[in-house]
Amino acid sequence: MMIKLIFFKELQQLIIDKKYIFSFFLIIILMVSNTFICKVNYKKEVENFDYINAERVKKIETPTGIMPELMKVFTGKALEKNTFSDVLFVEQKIVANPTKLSTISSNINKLPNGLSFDFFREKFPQYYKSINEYYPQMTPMDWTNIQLYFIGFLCIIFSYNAFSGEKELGTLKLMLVTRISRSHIILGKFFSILFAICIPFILGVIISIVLIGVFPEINLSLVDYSKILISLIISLLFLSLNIFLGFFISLLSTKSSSSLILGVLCWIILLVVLPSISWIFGMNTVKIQNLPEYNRIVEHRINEEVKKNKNYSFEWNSSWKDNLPNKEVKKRVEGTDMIDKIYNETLRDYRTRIFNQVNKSISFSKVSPYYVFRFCNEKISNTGIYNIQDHYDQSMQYTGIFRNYMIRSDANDKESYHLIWNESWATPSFCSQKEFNVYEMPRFNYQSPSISKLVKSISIDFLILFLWCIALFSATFILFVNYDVR
Amino acid sequence: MSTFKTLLLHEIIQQIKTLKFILLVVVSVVLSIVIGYLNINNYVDRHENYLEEVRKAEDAKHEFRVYSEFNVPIFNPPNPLSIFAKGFDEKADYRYDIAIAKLPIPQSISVGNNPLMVIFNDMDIVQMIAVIFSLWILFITVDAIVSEKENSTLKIIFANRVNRLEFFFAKYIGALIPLSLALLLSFILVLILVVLNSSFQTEALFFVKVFILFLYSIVFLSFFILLGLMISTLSKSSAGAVAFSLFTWLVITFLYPNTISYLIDSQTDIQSEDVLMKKIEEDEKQLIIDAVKWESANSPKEGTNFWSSRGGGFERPYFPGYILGSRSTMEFYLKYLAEITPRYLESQNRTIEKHISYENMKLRQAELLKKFTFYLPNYLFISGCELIATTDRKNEFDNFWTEVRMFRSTVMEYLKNKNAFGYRFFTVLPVSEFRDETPYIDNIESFEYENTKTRIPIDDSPVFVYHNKIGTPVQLIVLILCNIALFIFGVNIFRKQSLII
Repeated sequence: MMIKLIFFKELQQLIIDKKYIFSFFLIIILMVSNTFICKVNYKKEVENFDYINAERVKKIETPTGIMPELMKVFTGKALEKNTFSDVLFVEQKIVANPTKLSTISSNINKLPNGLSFDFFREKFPQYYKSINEYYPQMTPMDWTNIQLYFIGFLCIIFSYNAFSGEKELGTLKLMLVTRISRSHIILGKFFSILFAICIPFILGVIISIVLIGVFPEINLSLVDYSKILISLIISLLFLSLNIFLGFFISLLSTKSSSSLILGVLCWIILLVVLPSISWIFGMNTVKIQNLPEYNRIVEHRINEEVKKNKNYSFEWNSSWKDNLPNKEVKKRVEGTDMIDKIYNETLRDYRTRIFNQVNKSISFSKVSPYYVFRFCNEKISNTGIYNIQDHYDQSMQYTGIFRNYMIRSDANDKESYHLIWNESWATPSFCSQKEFNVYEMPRFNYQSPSISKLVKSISIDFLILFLWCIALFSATFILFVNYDVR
Repeated sequence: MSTFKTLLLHEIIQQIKTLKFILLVVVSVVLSIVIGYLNINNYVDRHENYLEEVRKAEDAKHEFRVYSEFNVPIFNPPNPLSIFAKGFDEKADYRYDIAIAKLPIPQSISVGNNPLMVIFNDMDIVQMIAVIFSLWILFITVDAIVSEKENSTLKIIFANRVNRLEFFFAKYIGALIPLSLALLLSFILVLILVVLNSSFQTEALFFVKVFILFLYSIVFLSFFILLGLMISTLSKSSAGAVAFSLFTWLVITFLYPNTISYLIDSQTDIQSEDVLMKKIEEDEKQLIIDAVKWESANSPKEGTNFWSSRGGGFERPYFPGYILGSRSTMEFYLKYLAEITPRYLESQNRTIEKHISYENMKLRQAELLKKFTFYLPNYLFISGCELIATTDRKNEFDNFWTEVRMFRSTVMEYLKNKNAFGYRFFTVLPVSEFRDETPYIDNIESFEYENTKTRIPIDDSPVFVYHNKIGTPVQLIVLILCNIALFIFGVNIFRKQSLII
């Protein structure tokens, strides 16, 4: 009952405050404009995705580039379809799927969003989008950043003088003269601020969802709505954490202006300072080789292998063409296979390291609950580094499926000598020359994480945020119990 | 005057004694050391990589046997001032090939930074000042006047016939001096780290520019001191003043610039590089077809043609390093150089134009953002520092690429004067040695002319020299004017304010 009284009293005071009224409209404006921007970005992503996929199918199906034109000039015949051996050397691109839930957490534009490969080799992470290096790295105003940079900060603004302010005015001791317990005071104030902050935020979410429903480009499924709901629960935890942080700071000092300064200092440290420093530990824990070193490693390994195994042959004899394969051809095949294997292994090692480095940095940055919240939302919306990593893993699996399919297709051709190696001018003589049917080829279909997998992956983050709330609430309560209200 | 001195001394001592100031010093020391250390290591890595690339290019330069191998790449050296103001320096770690068959298109030689680490904001010293110092200074100054009103000390001070202008000025200078000392400490710590790093080669100009950056930082911080004093004058309570200043800082530092850049990015369309490369390919296709047709029609009677002499393969007209063959093959190549090479060079010019047009598209987007953010103090400060450090976009990209293209024209003239487009373009064999029959050579290296180690004489080739140009510091002038305007405005408001709440 007393909680209710305190709740309504605090809420009333908060709602009539000019700061709150201004913030209310600003939050809704930011969230709604974010939705429009996300719609435009989603449309661009879809166009880019469809274009790259169409180009990929076209490249596999029909000869592209200068080759068909030149064949027309020399032979008078137009090359209509690629053969099996042509497809071995086609560079295929896989680009990350467009993200419907980028309203929750947007992709950072400067992250690579794809990879390329052919039958023999994989490549470094690629950028299949327009990147403007003259444009500053911006912080997208998605729901996560609106909460981090604005709403979370507002929670501290509305809670920093919850106790020190009341003490200055002399109302705190009056409140405690009644039989109200200290925990009820804390909870009453907490729920009032949380409710007041949640009204514009949830209103912004509802308006955004309605707008998304109106846009024909974005089609949200039940799974997407579930993810939005999970994100809202995490947001509630995050906002609660900020409110308790404000309370805790309010109880550390007797002057409200000192409380505010401490509150802002905490906000800066948790949002800017700690994460800016923490990624350094990740960089120092996991070393990655730079590009020149990478090339040197590959060269060194190849030379070592060639010294060890003198059976490899790198001499080409034009008489081998259109004739049966002999021992020398097979030695050449083994040699080029060895080189491709080393390239791919070194690249995979590089890729593993870059992901390890960034994951370590993320782990260190989670010292700040703000970054726990940030990366949790990235997992929910399937954007950012988690999306890149998941996409990469699935793409790598697909390259294996594609290779196996090609080997099986070649094995089924009785006219083939079944020798496939990374030399486009020689291999066609020794492998299948049948016309390639791109529609029989296995396709890459990215599977976004299921709800159960998502819940599992964010459970630790949820627990961390929850523990922060408990810890701050407990600290607030203990401080308040010992607080001198005179 | 003595009143002013008393007030000033009092203010300085009060500032230094506050917890806020001590916290500022502690945070700035920690951040300066960490940021300075990281940025110095990053610069040293990049510089070592640059020196390695230059050395390799210099070594390769003396090994060219024919003019078709001629390639004197230019590298954009890392700027030591990027420790303070990164700007576009790291993005401009490029190599530009100056060769006949290659375009001087920037190719990254970036030292393997993890491309995924863009998820973290890495700061330089200037950004640390723009974000952390600016906020903290607002906090320190924002209750300077209103707290005196709250404590009723203001009316006591003015009961002593203190001039309002003197009082305001004392508050301003009383905050500026300690804060400048804190800032100076940050700069000194970074310079100590620079000097202690043995791989770092500095010259006197570096320290002069650092000093100018320091002075510019003071102008920037002065803006926030005056802003804080103005808010303090207008506010009725300390808490209200702090809250309002915080909100103002949040809007001008984060909300407005990020919202605007997010909006502009979504509303402007930059085509991807794939589309550009496709356009270039289409343009070159016809040239390649014409070249191949010409070759088929003009190839020597014994059947040696462009394809078989290169081992086959349909590729764009790229000249072999050195070709050995019969007199008719040699004459075929000389004819090729006279008829097809000029067309190829024209096609390259068109490709460069397409690249420039693509770059201009990107620049237009950046310029649009600049229009909306130019008058923000943080933007004025950061872009002004980049200008002083010459890590701004114009120096790192526009001017550099313009100079590179002009240098390429100079090199082409030099090569023409050297008669590079004669037989020495593709073979070490003098014309008198051209044979009547095609020798079949399995191993080119064993042929006697290849073992003479004949090199083309290019020791007198033009040398590329680029001097960074410091642009007109419009940002500095605007910031100084903003300071003056804020000061005048602040004083006028203070003069009309009541001394009690």
